[in-house]
Amino acid sequence: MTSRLDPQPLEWLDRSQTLSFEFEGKRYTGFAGDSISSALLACDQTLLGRSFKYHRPRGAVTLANHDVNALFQSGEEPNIRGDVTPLAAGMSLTACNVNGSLAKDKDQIIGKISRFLPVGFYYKAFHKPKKLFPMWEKIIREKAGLGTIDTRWDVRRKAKTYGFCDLLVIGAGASGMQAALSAAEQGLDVVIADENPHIGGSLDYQLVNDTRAASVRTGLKQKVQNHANIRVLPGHLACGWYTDHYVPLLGPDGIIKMRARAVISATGVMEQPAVFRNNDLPGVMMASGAQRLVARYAVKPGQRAVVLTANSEGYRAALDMLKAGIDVTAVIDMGKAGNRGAWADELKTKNVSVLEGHMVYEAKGKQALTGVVVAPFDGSKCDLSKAREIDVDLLLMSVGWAPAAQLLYQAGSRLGYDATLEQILPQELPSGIFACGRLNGAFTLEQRLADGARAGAEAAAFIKGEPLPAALAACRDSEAHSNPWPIVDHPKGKNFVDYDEDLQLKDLVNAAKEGFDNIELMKRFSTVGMGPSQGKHANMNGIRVLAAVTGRTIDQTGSTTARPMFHPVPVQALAGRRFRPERLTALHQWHLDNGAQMMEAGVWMRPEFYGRPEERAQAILREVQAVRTGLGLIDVSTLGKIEVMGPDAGKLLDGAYTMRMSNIKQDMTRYALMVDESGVIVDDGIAARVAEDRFYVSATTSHADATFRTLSRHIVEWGLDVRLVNRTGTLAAMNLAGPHARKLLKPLTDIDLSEENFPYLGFKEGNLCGVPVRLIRVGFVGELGYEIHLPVESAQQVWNTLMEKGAEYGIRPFGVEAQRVLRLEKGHIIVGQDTDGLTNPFEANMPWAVPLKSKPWFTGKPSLALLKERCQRSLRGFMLPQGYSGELPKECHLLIDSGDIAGRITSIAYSPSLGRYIGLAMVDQPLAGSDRLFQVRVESGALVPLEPCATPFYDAEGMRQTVDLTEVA
Amino acid sequence: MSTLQFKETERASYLLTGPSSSTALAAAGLPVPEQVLTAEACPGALVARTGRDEYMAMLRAGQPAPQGDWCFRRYDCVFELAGSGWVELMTHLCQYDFRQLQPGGWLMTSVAGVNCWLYHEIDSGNLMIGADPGYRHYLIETFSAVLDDLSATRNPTGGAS
Repeated sequence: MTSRLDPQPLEWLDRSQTLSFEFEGKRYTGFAGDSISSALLACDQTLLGRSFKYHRPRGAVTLANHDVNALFQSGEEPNIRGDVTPLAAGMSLTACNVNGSLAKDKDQIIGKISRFLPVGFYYKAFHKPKKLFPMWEKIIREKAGLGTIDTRWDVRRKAKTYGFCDLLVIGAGASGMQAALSAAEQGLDVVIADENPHIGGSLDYQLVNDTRAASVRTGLKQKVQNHANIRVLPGHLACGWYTDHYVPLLGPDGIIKMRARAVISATGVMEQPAVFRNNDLPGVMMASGAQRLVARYAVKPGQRAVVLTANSEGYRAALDMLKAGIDVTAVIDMGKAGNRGAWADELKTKNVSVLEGHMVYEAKGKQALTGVVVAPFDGSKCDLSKAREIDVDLLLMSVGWAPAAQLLYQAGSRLGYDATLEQILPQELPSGIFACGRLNGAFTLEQRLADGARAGAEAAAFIKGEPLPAALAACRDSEAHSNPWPIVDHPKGKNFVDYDEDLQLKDLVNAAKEGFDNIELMKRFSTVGMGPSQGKHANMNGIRVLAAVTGRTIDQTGSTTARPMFHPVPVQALAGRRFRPERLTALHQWHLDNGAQMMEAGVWMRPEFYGRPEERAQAILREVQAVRTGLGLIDVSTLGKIEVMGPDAGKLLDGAYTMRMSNIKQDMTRYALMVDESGVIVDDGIAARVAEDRFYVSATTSHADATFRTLSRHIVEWGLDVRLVNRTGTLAAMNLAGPHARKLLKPLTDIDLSEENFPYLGFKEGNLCGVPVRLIRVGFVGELGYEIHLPVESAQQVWNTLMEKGAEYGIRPFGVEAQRVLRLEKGHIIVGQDTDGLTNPFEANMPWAVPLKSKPWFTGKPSLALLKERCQRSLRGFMLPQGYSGELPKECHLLIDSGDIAGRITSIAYSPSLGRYIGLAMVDQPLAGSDRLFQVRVESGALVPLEPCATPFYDAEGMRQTVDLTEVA
Repeated sequence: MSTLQFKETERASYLLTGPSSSTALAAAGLPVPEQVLTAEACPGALVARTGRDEYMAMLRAGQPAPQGDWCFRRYDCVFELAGSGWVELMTHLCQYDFRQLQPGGWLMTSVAGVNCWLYHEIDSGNLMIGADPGYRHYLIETFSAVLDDLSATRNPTGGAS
């Protein structure tokens, strides 16, 4: 660590912890608190990465989360930002964008042919001949992009949390802290967030050696950290602004979704580069970047330096470098040193040469900076007759600032160029948004503190409902801290405006000349500002270049808005904690204990079948066979169960379902088909009449809550006197089906099960096994069956009794898959499987459920009246040919007719009762209405014939519903 | 935070609806909240008004149950979140601003994706959470996971509590 300085007063390092790591196969050490880049720089590894397009050598520039050419790869994690990512012991890092090694990147050759690769070359070069485009595309894709994705990545999630406060202050520098204190003093609940792991902002690096700032810094930090009304969130980046002051704060533990009543943006400014030839060499840095490196990480950025400046901050940086033991050869001031204030005066006493009215024309060096060519500058070009070269390994640029105003733009603020400060500043802010500090043009410490206090007071007044007149400009500086044209042309180019995308000055000039002279067009054509830093260093100079080429002002040229989230956010943070509600029936444990393989059915878990996974087919067949010949018992607790009560209960159901429900006789049920206003099937179930003013309605498993909501809405819309109770979770249900069902139930219940008293589709209340139950005679699976509805607390007792007493009839529990086979044999549809988001009852062969003539109105009737004559497809039954043994079609396989898609299979299964495969398919007309064979394309691409046939496939007369009538009569 | 506890608690829950619901509550000696979406507690019972004439009653063992044709037993799983840090825990699970839920406050909202009712107990300061019994397992797992995470990653956030 030869470039490591002695301990600095505010350094972030824990020197008691030495960390070892690898970079490009070589071992290094750093300290806890180092960033990856600072640790490498401390070990004199100044080459940190390669540029995106030309693979030029690049180093550290800002140490502010903007160094997009110092990206690293660690295992499966690409694009690690080395300038801010904390060093960890054992890291094994490589550079992100190299072909070979970082030191000997084979793709450096691309830089040699850069003249043939001007901006937008790929738009012009590769579209002809068309047949070669796939080859070019492959090459471009291989060369483009940063880092390598490991598709075997681990699942990682970081929790998202919700936060609330009165006032969110973004940025914990001098103005942000002062704003937070001002508002907190007025009793507001304040959160102050800063992307850095320590609060203090530029106080801690730019003013670290300024004695006047020391007491201010200490006082502010202590007050903020100890104030009872302030929560401090260091290490949290506000990465977007959403409506009603909803701001995601990305922190080390994930995202906090912060909802505030008002927001103060004290996000500061981003230092901007000067544009000159080779301004990207390692050793060319922002002055603030070098100050961060020294103050935070105690790393000496070079041995011999010059400072290019257009403001007083450059002199402060020169003083700081001197203090760090760096030989500052000269300060190159683009203007006059006499205007630069106390720091410039102090520097004069240090015998550092100041070249006034000069600019860096060119940086020298191949892999790193070795010298600079400086020359007098008239504001647009250099006087090369007086150029001279200075040998240095460090060039600090302090030529201006751009506001970190992404959040202000997203909130709808109006910003404009201020000719006094030569900086874009907020001009008008939306309700509840405030700004202060350097972002707002307050540059001296006194100005920043005053501006923070002003913003805090304005925000507090706003929140209290007593808004003050906005005084945005009250504390702004009167001197420019940015140069309006820190750009110098060079015949050999390589003067980069955008480090992300390797865009040179000539690229933007040419783009504008080609007609892409609108800022949005230029951005998209040239990709300026579209790289990983999203234009943090490129946009301001890009706007200046476009303004100069077009002869417009900065305001006339305009600027682009960074969309939220304006900074890369890891997917694991966006994903958050996984909430996947899982609902279990009262019999869940019994199913598990008895070998059930569970499956998801909406939010519910249901038994798919009982048995080992490898015996799936046989297990399902056994279960089907049990229902057909003996007895089966299935847990149907997941069905929706809704109690409908009140004088208008019948009216509600008449309007909500296609068939009339108000005339159901007591103790009887009716099929209940629900369609939406467009006539599309959305749910089905049964409706049972419990009493004159009371019904009991069932719904499908996945649509139960939606059906409850629909009925609730109708009550309000139609002004009905009805009460609903959703009993889905509080009642269990099981279906006992099979020819011996009645025999099993008879001795266990006080309900008269005789056909006269309890016919098919009947409904009875009584006791079963001593438990109050509701029994419903149903026929979904095509056998004599009783649905038993009962309190969840008694479900296990009744289930156990039925299984025990049913043993003599060969009772088996059966799962969802067996039920699907059984109902398919009966030709019963499953809503959502045999129907889709457009299926109406006519297409589903259910015209009998749509009483257009006999019922005056129901939801969807007007649509269905039109759709009846416009039926373009139909659900048809089919069988595979007898003895077919080829590749089996599957659900969703497409029917093909004359080469075109003519439908799809919705259900298919082997029918044990028929000894062949049967299914349902939604078939387009006219094929659906013909007797022709269907053809389905299976996975291999082959066409398999299907024989259309009528449904039901099994017991068309329904004789099985009364199979044991004589035995109980 | 170290005292934060999530435990299941026994409550017999009922839903009453219809014009006779308030009479049925009063007959059982239970309070009848005046405002919709408010709750009133009495020894051994909590009654919330969830609609114009709809109420939910959560009763401890031994408390007489309300009677009526339109009185339905619910089997809600009911949990109690005890300890000073429950507001922070809930920020992981629910987007409600719990600073607004004062002692005695009643709320129906989504917690970890599940519809729940919540009540901020007056005496203990604990948070009661009730939900459909089918979600019992899921809620226990989810709350436990968040509790574990919180106990592993405690970060001071300044002077405010």
